[in-house]
Amino acid sequence: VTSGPFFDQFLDEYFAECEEHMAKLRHALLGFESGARPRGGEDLREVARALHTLKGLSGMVGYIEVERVAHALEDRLRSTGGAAPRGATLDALFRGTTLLERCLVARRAGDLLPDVDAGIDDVAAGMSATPALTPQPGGAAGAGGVGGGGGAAGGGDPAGAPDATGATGVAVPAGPVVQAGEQVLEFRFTPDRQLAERGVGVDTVRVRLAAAGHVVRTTPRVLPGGGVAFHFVVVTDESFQPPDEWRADGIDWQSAGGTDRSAAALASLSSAAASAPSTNVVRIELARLDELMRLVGELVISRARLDDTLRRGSGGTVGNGAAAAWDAVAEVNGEMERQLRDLREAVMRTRLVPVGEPFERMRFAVREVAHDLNKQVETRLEGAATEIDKLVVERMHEPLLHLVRNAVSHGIEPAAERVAAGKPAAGLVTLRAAAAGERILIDVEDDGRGIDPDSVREHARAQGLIGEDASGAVSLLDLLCTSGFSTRAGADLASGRGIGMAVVRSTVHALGGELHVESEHGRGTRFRIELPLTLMIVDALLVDVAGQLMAVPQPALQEVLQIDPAGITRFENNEVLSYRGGVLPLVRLADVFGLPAGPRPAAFVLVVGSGAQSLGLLVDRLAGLREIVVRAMADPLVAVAGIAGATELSDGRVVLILDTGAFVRRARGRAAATEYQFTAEA
Amino acid sequence: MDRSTPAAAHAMTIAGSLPAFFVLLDLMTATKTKTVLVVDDSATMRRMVIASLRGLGGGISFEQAESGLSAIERLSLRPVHLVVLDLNMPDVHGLEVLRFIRSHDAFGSVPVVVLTTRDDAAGRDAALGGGATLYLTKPFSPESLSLEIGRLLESA
Repeated sequence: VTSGPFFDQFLDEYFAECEEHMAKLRHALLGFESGARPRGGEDLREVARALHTLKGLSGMVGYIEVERVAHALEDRLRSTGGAAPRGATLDALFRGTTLLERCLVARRAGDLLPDVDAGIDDVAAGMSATPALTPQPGGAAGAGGVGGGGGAAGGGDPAGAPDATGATGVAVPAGPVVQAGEQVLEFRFTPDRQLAERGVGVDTVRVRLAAAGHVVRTTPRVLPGGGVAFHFVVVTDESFQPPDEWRADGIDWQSAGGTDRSAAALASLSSAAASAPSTNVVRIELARLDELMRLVGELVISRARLDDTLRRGSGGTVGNGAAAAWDAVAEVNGEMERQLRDLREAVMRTRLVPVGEPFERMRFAVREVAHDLNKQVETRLEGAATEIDKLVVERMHEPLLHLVRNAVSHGIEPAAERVAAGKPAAGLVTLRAAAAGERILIDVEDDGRGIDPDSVREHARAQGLIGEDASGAVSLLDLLCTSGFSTRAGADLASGRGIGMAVVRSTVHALGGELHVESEHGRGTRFRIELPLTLMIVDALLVDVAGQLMAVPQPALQEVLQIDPAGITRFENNEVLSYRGGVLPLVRLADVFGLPAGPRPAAFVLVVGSGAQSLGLLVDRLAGLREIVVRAMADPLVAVAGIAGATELSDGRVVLILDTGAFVRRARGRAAATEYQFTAEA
Repeated sequence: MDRSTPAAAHAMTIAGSLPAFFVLLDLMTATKTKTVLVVDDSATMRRMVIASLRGLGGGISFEQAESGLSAIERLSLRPVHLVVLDLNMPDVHGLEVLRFIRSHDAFGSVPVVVLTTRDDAAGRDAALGGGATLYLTKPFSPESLSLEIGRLLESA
């Protein structure tokens, strides 16, 4: 029946929508597990609907296996007869959801599809034969009966009509359940064309009311004149008072319970109104944002060109009469620079998404692995509101998943072992996000057994990854990230299907970030990922290296020093500089890129890296601070170690952007592993 | 809920700046074009339905509702010539929307095509018994949907 090729044009949209439904699904399942279900079957209905929509959409694009898994989950969910799933049913739903996710990931990547037959049987296993369904076609709104006709009254009659409609068949409470400190308000919304033109409709009103409280019932009624009005019964906090502006939007209300109009109630009004979520969310293709960003980038270059022209002109070539006009242009130019910065930031912000949802997926993964390995693990999410580039979120999904799975399978000990060590029986995995200037920090932390550096070395030696005599010469992180390294003889199910630490690190590096690890034997491990907030435009210092102009992104710069070349001392094979009571290893950029030394000795040192990993890059001359547009060198044939990309200056010259991280990493590779900071007794 | 698809946002801008736009639209509706209201809570599904019906030609304008409530609202505001109705929706179930339409003279006898993922006898009976003009299931082929709905529109 399907017409795959025709609907292929909707695949991007399909995956985007599936992602939303999967997020709802994961959120609800985690909620069921934690037992935090404040209001009856709402989550159950939402999950049922998400699955139903997933099923329908998947059928349209011909993804039969996704359709089948969603269907199996739907059946399983319905088998609870309207109660929140628990125990074996909940476990089956978790497994099925994971399978669903794997199917979607495989479809998206064009990979081999997982075998769903066994998974579908697994989801259905142990299910009672006849689902005890409560027919409730109207869902939450059905309770008063639409159109005066009457769906089954709320509460659900088990012996009622046959389930004609399926997926939303979940019981809802008959009347509003009001607790202490709450009130019941009745709202009436009368739509008209003028309101519709202003974007005020029954859906937006409903969202407004849902933000104010709990919408218990919605009923459309036909008015004598032939129009329609909608009645809402809403349970709100006692202090809630609808703002008067609502009346202008066709909304009327009256209290159906007691209303307390105290000063406190009025005070909370504004905050309640402000917290109402806007429905004006637009889904935009990332490619369009990239295009917007590119255009802003071009604008930045044009303005810099204007800046240059103005500067050249101010050197006395302008006649007296034009001086005032010239100043005015310069002033506008300065104004434009500020506006462009704002624009750039605003455009950049459109690409940012809160890290909360991806984190929740990790929580889901923790739960899954812990369950498979029969461990008790809690997940703590910190900084979930931190925003991060959507592209970075997507690229970091697999690496984060790997770290999280590792934390549970390798880090967290079995309960008995933990108790014996004086720790709480349940392990803790913390996911933390924080913004630090133009960088984002993401931590994956566990309070498990920690990484034993000796045992890691032993494994690496046994696997022939390092020589017998290479003790201490390679850092712990380097070892963990060696391709092929595994601490288990045979990779176990939980973490073995992951991508490996080598890929984690290379992904982080490709995004312009850094990966760190700190581990204390017996206390736990923390992986820290440092990522740039945005990948597109940065402030950079232009430097001259043997006549070649290069750009160094400012976030990477720690300090710039003007030095006396005579102050450089040779130490073994390296040049060093005394710096802040220690020594700073130096790298001559001219040598690195095989450029002939310039006529003047290198006089400036750019300090990059941090702490013990600081490094000085020797350059001839500083050529100014610019806002540059980073264009990554995507072609691996063009990629040069130490070069992150290229940018175009206002005069059209192309300048290479230095990847300072690469220098720091290389220097670190040469240095002894003991230099690397992990607190174990290495 | 994704009310502001780019198309919807665009339409709202036009509406905001040109109130006369709707008057014009009404005139067009009355004389030439026929309006099809596509009701589904999935934005992707609505677009799939509309894309499938594009082949019916320029004489049809499409409107969308993402919930049963907004479908009822939309029906009450301006004439609609045909409704494509999903059943499984968050606030008011499609069958309730159907019942509402059929039990009020205000909406008259607008043809309602129920288009749902369910393909069982009970669902079909409930929809047809509730006054659906046609019961179709997802997944559908664009050709067959367009054929069926084109036929209904001709006689509408």
